[in-house]
Amino acid sequence: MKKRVRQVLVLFLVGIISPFLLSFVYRETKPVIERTKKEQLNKSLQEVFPDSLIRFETVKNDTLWRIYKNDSCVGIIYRSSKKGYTSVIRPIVSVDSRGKIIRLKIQKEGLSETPGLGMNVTEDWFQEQFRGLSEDELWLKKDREEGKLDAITSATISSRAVVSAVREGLKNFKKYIPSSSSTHNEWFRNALESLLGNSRMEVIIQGKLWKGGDRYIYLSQGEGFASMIGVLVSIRNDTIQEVHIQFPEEGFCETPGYGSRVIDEEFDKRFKGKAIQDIDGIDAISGATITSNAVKNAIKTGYKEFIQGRNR
Amino acid sequence: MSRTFIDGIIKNNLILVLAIGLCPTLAVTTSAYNGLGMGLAATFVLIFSNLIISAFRNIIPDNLRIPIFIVIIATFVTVVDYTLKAYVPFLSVQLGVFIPLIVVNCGILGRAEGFAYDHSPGYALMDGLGIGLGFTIILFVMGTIREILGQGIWLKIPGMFSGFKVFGEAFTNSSVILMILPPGGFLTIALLMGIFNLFRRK
Repeated sequence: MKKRVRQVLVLFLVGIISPFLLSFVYRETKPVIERTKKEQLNKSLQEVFPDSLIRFETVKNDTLWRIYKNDSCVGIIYRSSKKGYTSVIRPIVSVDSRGKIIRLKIQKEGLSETPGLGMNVTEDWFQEQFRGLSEDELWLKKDREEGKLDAITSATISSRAVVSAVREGLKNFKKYIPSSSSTHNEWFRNALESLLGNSRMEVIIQGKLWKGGDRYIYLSQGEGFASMIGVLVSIRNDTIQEVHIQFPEEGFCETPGYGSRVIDEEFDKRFKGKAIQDIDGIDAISGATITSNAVKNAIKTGYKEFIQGRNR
Repeated sequence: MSRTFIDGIIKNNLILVLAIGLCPTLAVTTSAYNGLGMGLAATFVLIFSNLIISAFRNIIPDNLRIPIFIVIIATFVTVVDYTLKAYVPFLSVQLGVFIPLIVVNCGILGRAEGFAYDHSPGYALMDGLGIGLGFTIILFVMGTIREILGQGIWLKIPGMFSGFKVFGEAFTNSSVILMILPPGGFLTIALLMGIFNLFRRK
């Protein structure tokens, strides 16, 4: 009996002391680990898009970033992965606004393809080939006629893995590439005219607030899952008359099937006749909560600006 | 006590004599730096697990000793793992899964079971130091041989130092790639064991 108690006690003590020590080490090293990770990531992002005037915005952790230059989105960077010959190859790729590859980089660290053969995917000449190619051209020459890429001699599997990682990544993330900016900025013109109807338009703040008859119309933006969502709101006596949410052809690029349902399911009709303080009670679209909230927030922040603008 | 230390390096050499813990030895010694890093990580774990196990050898119940050894070893391995990740991230990526795998390195469990469990802490510490140093030296030598023949450079430190060029450009461009592939590991370890035994017989 005494022996049993001793056994339990010793195991218990070991089980207490060891995690205690580990939690201490974990707490001390975690911030350092995260910082080095972030630094390495930033370095690789800068390597595939070497321009000092840009900033990166994370769309999906560790896989997708948007590149901004002077507040307009000029391209995306993504990371995709594919099994190579003996390890997983994870190229980081930058794409411009036309959907063409700018540059790619394959990290040597953690890659264990055959040295001297598959490992050559990290060589410059191989990676340079990708520059300026579009999705259709991302095939090995020997696999498809339209392909424009040479494989590394006797390392076809590794080369093919890189090419298909890049191609599949581009296919998946293409929709996040911002459409050309000119239509983007003017998307609300038609909607504005239809909302105002026959009444005479009076500009209160250029590009932000208009007055037509007894109605005010304001333009606002909310941060959605993958893009900024524009919302045009017409308001009378502090009650929302109509809401127009930006359409895809107007530069709206939320996830199809999810975020895009704020358009498909006539989400805008739910706001009709609601007072501004009741907005929080409106149901979000299931599966598109972030996008729905973005619309709500856009209406609310726009309302605040509208009050200030009206009283001026 | 110094006898224990010397024995740890030569008479009880983990790789050349006892021939245990060969898995990380073959896998990570593709460069001298990797070998050194792996050796030092294992040495750290070895010293502390030997010390703790020896200090508490009278408390640890006989029939529960293996699970307790494993928990103690795993604790120190995790400490090493986090520390490497934080301060030498490149080395941590290179050694990859072989750092967490030190937990099941039979060299370390073997010393805990075979030596530390029935010796006093002083001896256990010396044994840990000796065995660890012997292990590190062999890993470093193997890494050196394989890196020089396989890549033509020595002591390359990823992200910091591009290595000494041992041979000329011509060799680097067409080096003996076999040496940094798995067969190279077996060849090198066989060579070292052979040479070692040749001298020991005499």
